[in-house]
Amino acid sequence: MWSQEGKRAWVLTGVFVFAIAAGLGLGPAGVLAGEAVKLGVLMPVSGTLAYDGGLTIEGIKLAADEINTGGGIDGKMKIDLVVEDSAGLPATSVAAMTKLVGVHKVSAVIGDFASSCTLASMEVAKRERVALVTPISLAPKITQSGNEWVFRACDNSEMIANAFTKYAVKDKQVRKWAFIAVNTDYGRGSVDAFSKKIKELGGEVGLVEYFNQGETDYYAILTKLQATDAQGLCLLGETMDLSRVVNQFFELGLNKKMILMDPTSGTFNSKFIELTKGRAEGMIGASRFVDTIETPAAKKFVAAYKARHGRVPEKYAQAGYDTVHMIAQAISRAKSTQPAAVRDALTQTQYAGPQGKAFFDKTNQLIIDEYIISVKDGKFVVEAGPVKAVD
Amino acid sequence: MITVFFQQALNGIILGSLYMLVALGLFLIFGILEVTNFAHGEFYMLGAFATLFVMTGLGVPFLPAVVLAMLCMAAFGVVVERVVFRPIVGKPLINGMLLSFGLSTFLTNAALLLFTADPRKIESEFAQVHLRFLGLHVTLERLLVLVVGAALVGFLAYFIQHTKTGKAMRAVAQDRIAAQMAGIPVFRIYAVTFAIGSMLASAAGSMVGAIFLVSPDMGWTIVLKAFIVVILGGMGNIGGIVCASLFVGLVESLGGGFVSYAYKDAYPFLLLVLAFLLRPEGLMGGRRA
Amino acid sequence: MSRGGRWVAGLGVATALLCLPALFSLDYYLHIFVMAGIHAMLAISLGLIIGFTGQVSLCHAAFYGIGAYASALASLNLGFPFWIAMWVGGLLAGVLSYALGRLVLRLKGHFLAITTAFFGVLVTVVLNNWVPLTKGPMGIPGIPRPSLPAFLGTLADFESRVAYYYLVLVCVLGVTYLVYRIVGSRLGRALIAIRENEELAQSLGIETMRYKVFAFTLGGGLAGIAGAFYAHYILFISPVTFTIGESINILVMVIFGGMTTLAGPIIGAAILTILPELLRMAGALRLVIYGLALMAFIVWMPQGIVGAVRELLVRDRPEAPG
Repeated sequence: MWSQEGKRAWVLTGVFVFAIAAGLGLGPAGVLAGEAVKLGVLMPVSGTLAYDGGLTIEGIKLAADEINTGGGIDGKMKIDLVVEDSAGLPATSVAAMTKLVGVHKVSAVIGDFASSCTLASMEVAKRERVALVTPISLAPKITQSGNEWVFRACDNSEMIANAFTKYAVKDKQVRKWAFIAVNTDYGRGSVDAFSKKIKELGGEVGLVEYFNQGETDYYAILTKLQATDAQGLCLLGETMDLSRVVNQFFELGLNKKMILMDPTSGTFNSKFIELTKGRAEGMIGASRFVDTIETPAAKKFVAAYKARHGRVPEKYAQAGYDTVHMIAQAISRAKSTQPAAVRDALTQTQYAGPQGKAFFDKTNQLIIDEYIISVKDGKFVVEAGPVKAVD
Repeated sequence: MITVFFQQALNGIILGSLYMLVALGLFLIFGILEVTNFAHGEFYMLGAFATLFVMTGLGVPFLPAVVLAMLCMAAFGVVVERVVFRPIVGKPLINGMLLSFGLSTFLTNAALLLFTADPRKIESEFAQVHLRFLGLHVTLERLLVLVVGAALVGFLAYFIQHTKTGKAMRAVAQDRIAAQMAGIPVFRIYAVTFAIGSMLASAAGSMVGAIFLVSPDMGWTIVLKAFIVVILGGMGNIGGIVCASLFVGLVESLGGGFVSYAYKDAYPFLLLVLAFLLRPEGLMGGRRA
Repeated sequence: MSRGGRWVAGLGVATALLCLPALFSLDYYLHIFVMAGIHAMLAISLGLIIGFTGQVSLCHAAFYGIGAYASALASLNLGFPFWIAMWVGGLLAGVLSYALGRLVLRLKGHFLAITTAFFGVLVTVVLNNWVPLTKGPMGIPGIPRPSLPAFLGTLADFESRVAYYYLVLVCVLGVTYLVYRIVGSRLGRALIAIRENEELAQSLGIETMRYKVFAFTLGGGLAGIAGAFYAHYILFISPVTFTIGESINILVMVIFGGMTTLAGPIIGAAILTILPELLRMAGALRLVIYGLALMAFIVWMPQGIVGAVRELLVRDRPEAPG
C-alpha cells in the first residue's frame, strides 16, 4: 500500500520522534545516592580539540579515581564526574554548561579548554552562581572582567614571560628575538607579554609572524626568518603545528643559526619528540610541569598516569589533575557541596601538587612557579627552577 | 633578496604540485560524474593513513608504500562511487554536494574515532637528504613531490588521450546520454574515474603526510584550494589545471612571504575575483556551465 | 487540509509555542529553543536564496558573522542599544551580500557554490586577522544584553532566557511573514521562475540578475540580523562560530526540512538544533552518526521532511470514486 519512499519517510520520522522522546529530560544518570558530589567536566570530546581535551580529561579522571579509592573527599564523599562535550564551539559550550548546571546540578564545573568557550560559558557561571574552573584557557579577559565565578587554574602568558625571558636573556644571551606564533589569543597575548619583558631587559624583538592553527607549510615564514639576524626563535603554539615548524626549521638548516625556544611549553610532551625525532635537540623553554620533575608528588603522579595510559603525562593532564584536587580540598574546607560555598572555599586554596605550590590571587588567577626546561637526547630536562613567575 | 624570492617561488611550485594532484581528481570527477565531491580531501587523508599503516605495520619502504596506498584508495574509490554517488546521478546538484559533505563528515570523524586525533608523521629516508644549490634549500622529499607529480600528470595525460578508456571518459564527459547510446559502459567509466581521482589524491596525501603530518582533519583545507584551482583552470583540460595550480601555489607562497602571511589563505580567492573582473563572461569557456 | 483545519492547526501550534517556557522552564531547554530560533532565522533566509531562487550559496554563515560583529561593535564602540545595533548588523550584512551578489551571481551551479564557499573562507580569514577591529581569535566579550526603555522596563528582563525566547519567537515570526509575503507576490513568482528555468525566465523578459541579487541581498541581510541576535544573546563572539562548516549546517537544515517550502527550513532548524543535544551521549560518535544520517537522508528523502509529509498526504487521499 505504501511506496518504498513512503515507508522510508515514516521510518525516519519514527526514529526522530523516538530520539526526541528518549532524549528529553534524560542524560547520563550516574547518580550515587547518598554521599556523592557531582562535578561537571566541560571539555571538547569531539571536534578538532578532542585530542587535547582528552588529555585533560585523563588527568581529571585520574584524580577523581584517586580520591574515590581513598573513600572520597574526607574519606566519605565520592566524586561523581559528569562530562559534557563542548565540541570547542562557544554555543555548544554554553549548551553543555547550562545542562551541567541546570539538569545535572553540579557543584562546580571544570572547563572549558578553548578560551572562546570559557569566555562564553563564564556568563552562565555568573548567572547561575556556579564556579567554572578552567585548567587550560589562556585569554587574559577571563580573569580581568571581574567575574568572580570563573577561575583560571593554570599559568598565564605574563607569568611565563616573567620567568622565562630573564633566563633566556641573561643566561642564554639571546638579545635579538624572533617570534612565530599561532594566531589565537594565546599566541598574540604571549607575544605582547614577552615583547614587553624583553624590551625591559634590553633585548630586541625582530620578526613577528602569526600562523593559523592547522597550517602545514612554514617555509615562507622560515625563509623570511633566515634573512634576519635573530639569535633566538620563540615558538608559541601547540604540538602539531610547532612540530612542523621545528621540522622545517631543521630542514632549512636554521638550527645552526639560532636557538629554539618554546617558553609556553606547547610542545613539551612525548608526542612532540616522536614527531620531531631529534630535530628539536637543544630547544629550551619553560613549563609549569614536565614529567621529569623530581618532587615526590610529581613522581607519584607520573607513575600513576603512566601505569594507566602507557605514556607520561604532560601539562594538560597535570592541570586537570590538580584542578580536581583543588576543588576537592575546597569542598572539604567548605564542608558543603553548595556551589556558592565551594566557590568561596576555592579562593582560599593553598595547594601543593606535582608541579609545586599554588594559590589563587584576588582575580582568581592561579599563582604557581615555572621550571626552565631543555630538550636533551629526546627527554625534557629541568635546567632551573622552580622559578617565581610573579615577583 | 633574490635567493629569498627564488626560495619562496620554489616552495610555491611544490605547493602547487600538491594542489594539482588533488585538483585533477576533482576535475575528473566533476567533469565526468558532474558531482562536486567535497569528500575528496578525505581520500587524500585516507591515502596518507594507508601509507602510514603500510609502512609501520608491514615495514614497506616509502615509495612502494605510496603505490600500495594508491591501489587501496583506488579500490575504496570504486566502492564509494558505487554505494554513495551512483544513486544520485542525474539528481539536482545540491544533492551531490550535500551527499559528499555528509561523506566527508563521516569519513573525517570515523578516522578521528578509529585512528584518534593523535598527529603522526610518515618518516621517509628522503627527508634526511638536504639539497643545497644556488643558495636554495630543499629536501629530497619535497623535490619528490615535483617528480611524482609530473610523472602522474604525464601518465594521466597519456591515458586520457591515447587509451580506449581515456577516450571513453572524454566521451562521457561531453555527453553522457550520447555516450551511453554509443555503447560505452557509462557506469564502468564512473568507477574508473573515481579510481583515478582517488589514486591521485592518495599520492598527494602520502607525500603531504611525509612532509608535514598525518591527521584526520587534513583534508578540508586542501580540497577548498583544489576547487579554486579547478575553477581558475578553465575547466577545459589538464593543461589548464596544471597551470592554475602552479599559479595558485606561487601566489600563496610569494604573497605569504612578501605581503602578508596571515592573509595567505585569502589570496586564491582574490585571484578568482580578479579573474571575474577581467573576464566577466566567466572562465568556463568551452564547457557547459 | 481544509481552510478551517489550517486555522485550528495554526492556533494549536501558536499556543504550544507560547506556552513552551512554562513546560520546559530549565535554562538548558530554553537555551536550545533560542538557538533553534536563531537557526530558524538563518534557515528561512537561506531558503529564500536556495529554495525559492535556486541559487546555491555556501557563505551564509559569513553574513551571520558580519551581522554579529557589526552589531556587537556598534553596541560596544558607538553605544547603540540592541534595537538599533541589530539593524546596523542587518544593514552591513545586506550591503556586503549585495556587493558579492553583483559579482558572483552571474555564475551558476557548482561554480557559484564554490565561489561563495571561498568568500566564506575570506571572511573567516579577515575576522581572524583584522585584530584591531575584530580582536581576531580573541573574540569580543562583554556584549550588552538588550534592554527595554524605562517605561517598558518591567515587561521583559533579558537577564532571563525566557525574555530571549519570546523575542526570538517574534523575530522568527517576522522573518517568516516577510518571506511569506515575498513568495506569494509577483516578485516571488519571478524568483521561482528563475529557479525552475533561468534561461526561460530570461527569455520571458524577467531581469534575472536583478531578482537574484535581490533575494541574495535580503537573505544576507536577514542572516545579519540573526547574527546580531546571537551576539547579544551569547554575549561573546569569535570567528569560530561563523565558519563554512556552519554555512553547511544551515544548508543541511534547509534541505532537511524541505528546501522549497516555507515551513521546511523552520522545521529543519528546530530538529537539527535539538537533535545534536540529544545525541550528546554518543560523544565522539556524534559526528559520525551525523555524516551517515546526512548521506542516508540525501539518498532516500532529498525532498526534506515537509516534502515527504506532503507526498504522503497526497498519496493517502482516496482515489476518485469509482
